[in-house]
Parts: sequence; C-alpha cells; structure tokens
Amino acid sequence: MRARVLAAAAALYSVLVRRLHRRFPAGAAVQAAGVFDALQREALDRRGWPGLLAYWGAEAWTLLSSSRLARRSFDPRTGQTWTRRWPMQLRHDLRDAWRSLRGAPGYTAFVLMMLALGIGANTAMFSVLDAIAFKPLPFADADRIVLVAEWPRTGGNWTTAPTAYTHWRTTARAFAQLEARAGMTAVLLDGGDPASVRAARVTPGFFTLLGITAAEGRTFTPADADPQQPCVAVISSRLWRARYHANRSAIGQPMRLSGRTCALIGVLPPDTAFDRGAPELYVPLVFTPVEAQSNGRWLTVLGRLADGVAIDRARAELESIAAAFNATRGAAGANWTTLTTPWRDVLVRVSTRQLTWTLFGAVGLVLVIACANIAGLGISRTVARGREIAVRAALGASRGRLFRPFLLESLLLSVAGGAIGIAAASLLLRAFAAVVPAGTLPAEVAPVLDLRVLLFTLAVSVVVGIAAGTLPAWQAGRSSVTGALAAGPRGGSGTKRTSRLQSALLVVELAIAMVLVTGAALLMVTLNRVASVAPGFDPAQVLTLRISAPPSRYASREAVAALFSRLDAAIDGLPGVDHAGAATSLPLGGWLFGTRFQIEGLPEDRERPPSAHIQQATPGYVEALGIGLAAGRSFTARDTAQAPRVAIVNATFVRRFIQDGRAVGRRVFLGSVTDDTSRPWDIVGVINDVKTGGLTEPALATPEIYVPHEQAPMGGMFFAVRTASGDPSALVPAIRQAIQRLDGELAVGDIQTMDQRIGASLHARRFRTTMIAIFAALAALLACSGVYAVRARAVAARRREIGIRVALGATRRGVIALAVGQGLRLTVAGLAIGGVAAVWTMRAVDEWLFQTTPSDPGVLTAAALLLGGAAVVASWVPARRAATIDPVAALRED
Amino acid sequence: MTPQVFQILLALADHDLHGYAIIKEIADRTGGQLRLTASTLYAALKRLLDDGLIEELDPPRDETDPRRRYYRLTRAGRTAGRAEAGRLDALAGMARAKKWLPRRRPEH
Repeated sequence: MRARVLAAAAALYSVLVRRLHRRFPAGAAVQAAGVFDALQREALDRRGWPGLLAYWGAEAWTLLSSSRLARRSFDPRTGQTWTRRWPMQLRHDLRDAWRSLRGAPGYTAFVLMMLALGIGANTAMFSVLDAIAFKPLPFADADRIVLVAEWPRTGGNWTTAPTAYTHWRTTARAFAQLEARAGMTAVLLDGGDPASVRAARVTPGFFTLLGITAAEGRTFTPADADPQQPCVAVISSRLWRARYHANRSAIGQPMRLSGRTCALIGVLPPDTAFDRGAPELYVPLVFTPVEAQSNGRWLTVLGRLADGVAIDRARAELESIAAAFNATRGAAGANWTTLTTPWRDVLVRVSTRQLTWTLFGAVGLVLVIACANIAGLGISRTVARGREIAVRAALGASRGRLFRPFLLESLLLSVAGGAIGIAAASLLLRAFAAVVPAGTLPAEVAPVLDLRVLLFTLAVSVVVGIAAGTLPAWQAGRSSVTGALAAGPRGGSGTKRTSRLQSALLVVELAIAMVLVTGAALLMVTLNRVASVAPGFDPAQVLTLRISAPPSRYASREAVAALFSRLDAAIDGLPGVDHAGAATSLPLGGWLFGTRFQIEGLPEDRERPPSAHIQQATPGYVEALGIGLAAGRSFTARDTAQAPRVAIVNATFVRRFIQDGRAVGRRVFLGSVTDDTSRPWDIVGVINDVKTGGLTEPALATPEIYVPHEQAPMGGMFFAVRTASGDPSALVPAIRQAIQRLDGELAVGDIQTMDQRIGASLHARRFRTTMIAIFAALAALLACSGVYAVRARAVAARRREIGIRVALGATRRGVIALAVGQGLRLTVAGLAIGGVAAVWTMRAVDEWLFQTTPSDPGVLTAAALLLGGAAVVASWVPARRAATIDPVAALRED
Repeated sequence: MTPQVFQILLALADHDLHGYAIIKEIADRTGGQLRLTASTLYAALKRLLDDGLIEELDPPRDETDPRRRYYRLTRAGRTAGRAEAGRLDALAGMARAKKWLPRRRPEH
C-alpha cells in the first residue's frame, strides 16, 4: 500500500512537472522527480502520513505557483500572478459563503443533516467493504500468506492429508513456512461448569507464520512438538478473562481438559481475531503414528511465500510436487491436485462480498438522492437570490466570480457534513456490529474508522460538494441581469430552464428511491414466504442441546452407545418432558454425513451409486420433533445392537429411489455406517420430509436414512426435548443436573429452543432485508422531502398567479388539483423509470429471492403505490397552502 | 533576490552539490526553517542557470546515481551572492541603528 501510494505520487509529479514546466530541460524534470521522491519518503518516515500530506500540499502549491500557468496569469497592474491573488479571493469567497449560510439556518441545518446521514452511512459501509475486500488482514505481511490445499477436480473443502503436508513441507522451496491447523473440541473443566470450547491443534510455527506473539507467557516453540514433552496449551485472551479472570498466576499451571491435562503457557493478544470466534484454545499438533500415515484430508495448511517468490511460482512448484507425490499414493492421489490461494480470498465468503457490495451500492444510491436533493434546493436558492446575483453582475463581476461562492458554499456544507458524518459513521458501525449475523464477517477482519476510511470520506465529501454545487453555481453564472432586475424586489420565480432542471432532478430521485423500495419490498416478501415454509416438524415446545462423549473416556462403540441410551432415558424421565431423543444432526443444519447405499433387489448403478444423508437416532427422536410417520414404525428400545438391523427412510428417499413406493419390508445395504457393510438393514418405517438443508431447500433435495443409535453409535449427538407446556428453556437446569449425575465431566453445549434455531437460520436473510429496508426508507424519505421542498417553492413562486386564478373564480379544489397535478406527473415519470430500473437491477440479487421474481407485478405495484402515495402527500401539503391564498393579499403585495 | 535563491547560492558556497543535497544543506543550516520543495528548487536553479550564476557539472566518479547533476557557483554567482549579503548586512545595520536589533558583540 505504502509503496504503491509513493510510486503513484512520484509518477504523477513527474507528469505534472513536465506539463507545467515545459521550459525545464528534460534532465531537470527527471531530477526534480527524483528529489520529490526522496523528500516524500523522508516526510513519511519522519512525520508519518500527516507529514506526507503536508509535504504533498507544499509541493503542489509551489509547483503551481512557479508554473507557466501562473506566469501566464501575471497581471502587470498589480504585479501578481493568480497564485498570489487566489488566497485573497478564496478568503473573500469563503466569508461570503459563510455569511450566506448563516443567513439561512434552516436550509443549512437540513442540508447538513442529509449530508451527515448520507456520508455517514457511506463511510460506515466503506469501512466494512474496505476490511473485507481491500485491506490486508491484520497479520504480519498478510498478503504473503496463502492457503494451500489438496483439491479434487470436482471441488474440495480446502483441506490436506498429513502425508501430503509432511511431503510438501520437506520438498517445497517457494514457501518460507508451511504450517497446519486441525480443529477439535475440548471440554474445559476449570473455572465453572464444564464447557466445550473450540480448540485447534497447530504446528509450532503457526503463530510465527501469522506474526503473532503472546500477550502473556509464550506461544509454541519447535520443542513443544516433541511427543515426549508434556502437553502445553495457549488460549485466547477472551477465554483467559472468562475462565481464569485474567489471573497471571494461572500461566504455567496445568489446565484440566476433559481427557488430558496441559500446562497453560501463554495467552494470545486481546482484541484480535483470536477473540472474535476463532478457536479459543491451541495445543501443538503432533501426528500420532496412525495420523502420520493418514491419507484422510483434515488439515488446514497455511503458507508464507518465501521472499521474492510470486504466488504463481509457488502454485506451479506445489502442483508439480503434488503431481509426483500423488502418483505414488495410489487411489488416494488419483485425480487430486493442489490449490494455492491468497488466504483472504478463502476467509471472506463470496456471499459476504456480494452482500457488502450490494449494501455499499444501496447506500451510494441514497447519497446520490441526497445530492440531487441538495442540488434542487440549491437551485431554488439561486433563483431566490437572483436579484443579488444580477446586481453583482451589473457591477461587473465575472461569470467565474458569480459561480465561485455557490460552489464554495456547497463544498463548505459537504465537508462539514462529512465531518458530522464521521461521528455518525462510528455510531452506525457500532450498530452494524451488533446486528450483523455471527459468521458473516470472518473473525480475521474488523471494520474500523482508520485513515483510509477518513480519506475516503474526505474524497466523497468533496465529490458531493462539487456534484451538488455545480448546478446551482452554473445557474448563478448564467443568469440574465436584466430579467432578474426587472422581476422586482422579491426576486423572480426562475426561468423555464430552472424549473425543468429541478423537475429532472426530482424524477431521478424518485426513480432511484423506487429501485431501493422495490428491492426492499422483494426481500420482505421473500422473508415472509421463507418464514412461513412448513419445516416438516413441529418446532414449538422443543429444546435442543448438544452433548459429545470425549473419546478418551468413551473409547469403545459400546461405551458410547450405553452413554447415550442412559442420557436419553434420564432426560426422557424428567418431569415436564413429553418426549426426548437424540440424533447426529438437527433439521436446518445442512447435510452432515452422506452414505452410499444399494437397495436389495433393485438394479445397481455402478457409475453413479446413489447417496443419502445418514442420521443415527435414538428411540423418541421422531416423536420429540413431531415428525409425521407415513408408514411402518419408528425406533423402539428393542432396536439394540444385538437386535436385527433396522432403518427408517424419509418420503424423498422413497419417491426418488423406490419406484413402486413400497419401502417398508425392503432391505438396504449402507456404505460407511459400520465396519460390517455386508449385512443389510430392514426398512421398518417411512417418515415425512423435514427441511434438513434449511427452509428454502427445494422439495426432494435430501433423501435421508435413519438408523438406531445403538446399532451404529456416534460420539456427538443433538438432543431434542419436547416439553408438555410452558417455556422449554425452563427445563435447562433440570436437564443439566440429570446429565451431571451421569457424568460430571460431560459438556453441554449449543442450548437453544427449536424456534430459536429457526430464527437463527433466517438471520442472514433478516439482516440484509433490514439493511436494504432501512436504506430504502431513507431514500424514500429524502426523495419525498425533495418533492415537498421543490413543490413548496414552486407554489410560493406562483402565489401571484394563483391569486389571480382565485380572483377569477377558480375553486379551492381546482387550485389543489392544479398544484398536485404537476407533482403527480413528475412522480409517475420517476416511478415508471425506477420500476424498469428495479426489474433490471434486481436480477443481480435474484438468488436472494424466494418464491418471487424481480418482475413480480404485485410487489412492483405495492412499491409504486407506497412511494407514489408518499410523494403525492408531499406535494399535496404545499398545494393545500396554495388553496388558502387570499387573492386580495396576494395581488396587493406588488 | 528571493531568500530561497540566496540560500541556494549560500549552499553552493563551499561545495558542489546535487539537488537533493542542496535542499538538505539548507534545511540543516536553517534548523528546518526553510524547506524547499522539489519544484521551488528546480524553478530557482533554472533561473540561476539562465542568469549564469551557477553552472551544471557532470557527476563525480564516485557518484552512484548517474542521473544526478551537480551544480557549482560561477564567479558571477559568487559576486551576486556577496552583493546580496552586503545588502542584507547594510539593512541589518540600519535596523540596528534604530535599535530593532541588539548591538553587535565586539569581534575578537
């Protein structure tokens, strides 16, 4: 960033010096550019960015004042060039602008408010966009950090096998470091109830790669990777505060983890990515002999590019190393290659990037409306000050002289508005952080108002000032002297041209507002339709929680099976519980495990064997969630490990794979549920579909097979507990006690009611709908206030004409119709243009919509009626005032 | 003669210097009070070259950057600089006579 800015400035200087100082010999221009570069570097090193800006300012000023432009403007009468005259004039014009703004406090306050809102919202959104799309991640030399992974041709999940990792690490030369991370869960027993914490095993160089040093104690050293050494752990600052009360004496002491004990050796720095949801506990990654031979891909590998190596070279090297290595791995390596990607591109999800750009676009549109609004108001002001301008022109002011104060006034307002906007942005950003759904922004990025954002705000303010100020200033520059002076002491009503200009601005504002209002309406309809999708089960009165059995103490399948059976029985027996049951995943959570299968007696598809979502469930799970049984039976306590193998399938499974629809009684072979794949499973029941992949999952998307937990135990299960009445959360203490009685070291996590889970699955949708709706409301408000202001001016300017009409017999209703009619025509034009633009724009976010389309006529009509109604009200208020004009008074005023 | 031009002549009084070195010499000598920008320097150098007060030299053999040009005071330049210094001294003398400046300490 720094190097790029300096290089760009030097290049710009070199061009300017050549253009502005033609008489310099070519050599001198090159030397001047060299000296410029040396001086700007010195300024930056010595006094930082402010020093650099100050130096650039001084250089620009002297460059201009010694340029041929300045020499050409030399005035022999005063002996001055324009660079000498200019500061004086500027001061003069600034004073004029300041006085004129002070004279119109209502106008100034209104414009400042609009600018502060518009620029503030843009500043806040830009800081989010900057954090996720442009700024380097907050790690040392973050643009040199890449994620490398083994990659199948069909798309993989960014992971690598230990065998491949070890091989790359010893052979690849393009990386200064290659470090691996593997996720795990640990149950922490210190400092309160046993809590399951997200943990990670990392190779000792992991923190060095990120450039992170411990805030307390130390991070890992290569010696920590020795399996003979006692286990050590590093934790996040948040965990240290929460469980150890930031007590320094805890460092060096053993930490009690379920199943193992590790010495706490260090605490990571506070307020970093490690405090925002990344793993909270780290232990060194040492491969067990089995793991070291493993071709399972479960490592996340980060690399730091070696000095001077471009990512393309690293990618090519790794690909060739992997190709040679994969050839030796047999089936494990066939069809696999590698992927080397900047880490940031992996961290920030495509959907997040799209959302941020869309919101940034929306907030930009709001600012455009604000600009058009201010320009419209400015034109009215210019018209109202027509006489003053005419007097100045008559006294010999040049066009530029007339033009300048208006532009300056606008710039003054926009820069002041920007300054207030920065304060607004910091509030907005805080509000944004509070409502943004967890997981949308990766923990590694944090939007802040830094110098980059402030520069953006300054640039936006200046552009807004120029954009909103140019039209009125241009009007002032070309107004006719005689016309304005002849119009009398109250000033004229403006020409046809000014009113046409204002009308055009209004149409633009309404069209943009229409785009945003339509977008918001489409998203609201979508949210409503998604929320009313039937999930396939009854979510009311259900509490859910997750329990996992630590493998160190529940090593065998039998032990795991026995534990969950006992837990199931204990929770089911609690007073107030109707049904309790557990399964490996809950609806709406997405697919977790798939398995291949073959239905006995049906033709086999060897090319593309079918697969289904596999769930292990305890008896009572189907009843606890209230999933309807379509045929046969659900699991019972008799479906034990010794009993015949049984399975339940869902309706989609039957519809897709069993043509005659008779599932019960058939037998199915399952691929990977148990070690013994030769014995089939009897299908004993069919249940209705649930929305496993989320509420918007299309019908027939997820075929599912359920098998009894005892026949294929899994170490981590979600419990669903249906209560008889009242708030299901009230049962939490009793359930905790029941679990603790069975095993005091089991961690209970992820406790939520099913209704909360459904709500959480809508978070992302609700969030973007709310954001767009807020921007749309703002846009509509601004556009309508623009309609009001312009119509009010128009009515005031036609006071005399209306007075005459009334005197000649026009009715009150006729006058209102006349005044509203003009506003109505503009509104209809704006809405029509906006409607077309909306249909066209909304196609970009088509995938956000559900059961509606960008050209949904109902939604478009509703949006048009809403916005049109508001606009008509805005033009009706001044029209009503017109109707009360007393003709005698209006005519007497002249 | 502007203060900038006078300072440039002073900077070249003892040594032949290149552009950046002139700016540094002036900034050091004036305690940072006068910092020339690149544009000011080269605009002034051009005028001084045109008036024959300085001349351009090829870089010395040990110079690492071959693009650098060195500047040397000409005889005319030295004369002009001395004349300006004399004028300033005379002005200072008048100011001293009106007690705008403290009396000069006796010379050793």
